Amino acid sequence: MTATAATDVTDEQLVALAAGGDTGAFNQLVVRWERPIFALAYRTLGREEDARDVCQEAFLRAFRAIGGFKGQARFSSWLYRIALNLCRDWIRKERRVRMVPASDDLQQEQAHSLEPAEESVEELIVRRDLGRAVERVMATLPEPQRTAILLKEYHGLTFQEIADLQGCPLSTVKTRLYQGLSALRRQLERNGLGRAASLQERGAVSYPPPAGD
Amino acid sequence: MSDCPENEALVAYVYDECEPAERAHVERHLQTCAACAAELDGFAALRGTLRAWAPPDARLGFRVVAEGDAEAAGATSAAAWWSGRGLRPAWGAALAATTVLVAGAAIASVEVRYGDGGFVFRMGWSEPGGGETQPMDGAVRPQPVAAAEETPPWRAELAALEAELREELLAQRTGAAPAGGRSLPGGGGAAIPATDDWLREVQALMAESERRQRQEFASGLMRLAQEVDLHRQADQLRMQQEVDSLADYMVRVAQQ
Repeated sequence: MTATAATDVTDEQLVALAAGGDTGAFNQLVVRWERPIFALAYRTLGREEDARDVCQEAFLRAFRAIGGFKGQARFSSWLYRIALNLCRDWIRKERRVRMVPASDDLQQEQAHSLEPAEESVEELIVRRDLGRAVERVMATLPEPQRTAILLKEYHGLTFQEIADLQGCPLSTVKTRLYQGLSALRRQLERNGLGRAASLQERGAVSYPPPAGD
Repeated sequence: MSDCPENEALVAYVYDECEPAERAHVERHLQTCAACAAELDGFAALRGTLRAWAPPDARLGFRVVAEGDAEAAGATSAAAWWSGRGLRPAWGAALAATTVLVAGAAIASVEVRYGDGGFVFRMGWSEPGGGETQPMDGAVRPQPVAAAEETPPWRAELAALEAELREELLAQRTGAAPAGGRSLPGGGGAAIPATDDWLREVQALMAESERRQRQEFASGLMRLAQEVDLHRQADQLRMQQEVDSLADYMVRVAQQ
C-alpha cells in the first residue's frame, strides 16, 4: 500500500490516481469515507452487519467503477449514491425474504426471536434513550423525507446535492425536509419530549451545524 | 401572520443555506412573529435531539486489494473458485482461500461443525450464542464460531488447512518475492503472518460475495476443506502453534 498519508491531498486528486490504477490512493479514499458511508447505511438499514456489508459493497463497486467517474459530482456524492442504491436493493430483498412464510417451527421461532417486543417511543424517551427514540420515529417517515433528513442532518449535503441524489427539484428537497422535521417534532413531543425537560436544553441547542459523522 | 416566510424559506434558514436577503427577511420577521420563532426553536431543539442517534462504533477498515500475480502454483480447485472473482491477494490463492475461511467465518457467522462427516459449514446470521439450533441426527451440537473459545473440535481441521497453507507459503518464500512490493508481515519462518491488516484486506475481499452469494461461498469453503482433508499429512505438532494463533484471530474477528 502506498503510504502517502497526506491530508492536503484532495478527494479529486486521489480519484485521479485511483482511476489510474493506484490502489493505495483508492484505499485512502476508503479511509476518508468509510465512516460516513457506514453511518448512512446504518441509519438507513438499522443493523450494523447489514450496514457493514453495504458499506464494503459500496466501496468495491466504487473501486470497479472509478475509471468511469468523471467528476460530474463530488466523489462523496457519488459514493452516497452508490450506497443509497445498495440500501434500497437491500431493503427490497429483506422485504421479499420476510414475505416468505416460515415453513417449520424452527424458522418461526427464529423469526420470532428476531423481533423482540419493542419499547414504545414514549418509554424510550422516559429512559432518556433518545438515540433509539429518534431511530424509531425516523422509521415512520416516508423514505424520501427520511433520506433527505439523513443526508442533510448527518452528512451536511447541500440542498442541491440532495436534489441531485433524489432526482427531484431543489424546492422538493426543502419541502421534504420541512415536512419530515415537522413530523419528527410532533411525534417526539407527543411522546413526552420537549415538555419541561427540554426547555433547559433549548437554551444550549441553537441551530447546530451539520456534522459530517 | 400573513407575511410569514414560506416553509422552504424557514428550512433554508434553519440550515443556513439561504441568500443574505432571504436571511435578513426571516430574521426581521422572527422579531415580530412568535409563532415562527417558536417553530424555529422547536426545529433547533429537534436537531439537538437528532444528534443522539449515533451509529455504533463499528470496526471497519475495509481495504481493496488489487489483483496481483496470485497464480500460485498448486492452487486447488476450491481456491480457483475464489480466484475467479477478479480481486485477490498477492500472496497466493491458497492462502487467500484459507484466510477467507477465517475472516468469512467471522463475517457471515459461519457455523463450523466437526463430526464424522468432517467439516460442515452452515451459513447463518444468528447472533453469537443466540440462535438455538437443534442438533441433527445426533451429531455434535453445532457450535457457533464466535462462541467457541477453548479448543473447539474444528481446530484439528484448521490445522489441516494450515498445513496446506504452509506449503503454499513456503513455496512462495523460497520462490519469487511477493508482487507489488508487498511483503509478508512478520516473515522469518515460524509465525504465520496474521496481522490486522492482513485480515482487513481479506474482509475487503469478502465483500465480494454479497449475502445472496454466500451460499455459493459456503460450498466453496466446503470443497476446500474436503480437499485439504484428503491431502492431510501434516506434522500436527509443528502446526499447533500456528493453528492456535489463527484460531485466536478467528475468535477475535468473530467478536468484533
